[in-house]
Amino acid sequence: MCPERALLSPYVDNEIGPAGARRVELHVAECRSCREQLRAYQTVSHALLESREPDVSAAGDRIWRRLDTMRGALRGQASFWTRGVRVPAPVAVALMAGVTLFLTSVAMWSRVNDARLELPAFGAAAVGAAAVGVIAASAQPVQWLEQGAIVIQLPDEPQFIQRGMPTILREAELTTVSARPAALP
Amino acid sequence: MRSKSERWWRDSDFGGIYRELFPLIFRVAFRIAGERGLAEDLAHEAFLRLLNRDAPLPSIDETKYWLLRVVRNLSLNHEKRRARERRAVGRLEQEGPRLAVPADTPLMQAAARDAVQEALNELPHNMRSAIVLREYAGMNYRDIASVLGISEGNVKVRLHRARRQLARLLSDGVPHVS
Ligand SMILES: [Zn+2]
Repeated sequence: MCPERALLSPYVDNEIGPAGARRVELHVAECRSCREQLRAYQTVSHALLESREPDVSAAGDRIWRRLDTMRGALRGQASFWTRGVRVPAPVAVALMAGVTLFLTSVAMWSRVNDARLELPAFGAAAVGAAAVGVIAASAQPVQWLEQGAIVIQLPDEPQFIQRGMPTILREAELTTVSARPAALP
Repeated sequence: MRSKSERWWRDSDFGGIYRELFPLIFRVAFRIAGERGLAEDLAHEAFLRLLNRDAPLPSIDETKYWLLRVVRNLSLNHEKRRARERRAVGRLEQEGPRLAVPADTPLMQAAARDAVQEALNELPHNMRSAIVLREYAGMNYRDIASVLGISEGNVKVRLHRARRQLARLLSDGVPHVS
């Protein structure tokens, strides 16, 4: 095979100096095989650029709206207490596990007390009420998440992809975007 | 104290960056991913990560390269995972009754794509990302090398092979769906 063959692709890309370009041009004038190869490469480049593509501006609008719903958490002045917090995903999982464990132990504890220590009715009721309170409070974080006050921080490495995330966001888009369409900047 | 990312998006114009870079990022994502839905997810994820960065990148060019790197890495991971899943499905098919293919698989979407994108999809990921950055992002070898984290010599080799393979695939007519 001709040594010039390896220069054809860089020649198409304008990545060889004038001397290299001259060498390629002289060679392809003589060599039919390399000439055909060069023409094939140029045809490929042309075909790539001519090939159909989806509507870029429609895609741009759709993704801007998706981003806009995510940006809610970054908007608006907030006091120390109402400001959004970022929770790393492992911590969020640990917290949820902790709440579940706590609720379970409260329930167990009250049952144990009911059975063995014959806690006065008033005490048992108080424990029961506390458990109900904790259960009610555990709905609050979900609300915070929905309002974007808590953002669960997923790993930031480029190797990490958020599985299932796009589907969730598309759902969110259906509910929020129809109500409040965001304009492109 | 407000978080850093909150502050830097107030100071700089995210909308402006988005408007300037989205078309390029989306085109590259589409050509590497081979389908619109996946390309939108990749582009969305890349801009979302930009939004969540603690500090802005020093220039629009560096922002562009950063986004391209994210898109390329995400699509590579996606492809690896899909290959693993396909192998798993292949094993199941050998063991048990044939699984019905759901209507919205990449395989079905492939039927609607044109021959050029089909040919691109046949290339290994490393060749495909090089040729896409060259042809659709108009980047030179040095910049492609920096985005892909390889040497310029390696870029040259990948582009040469990608072109040779594309020329063969396109001259054979419509490539088969693998
Ligand atoms: Zn020759």
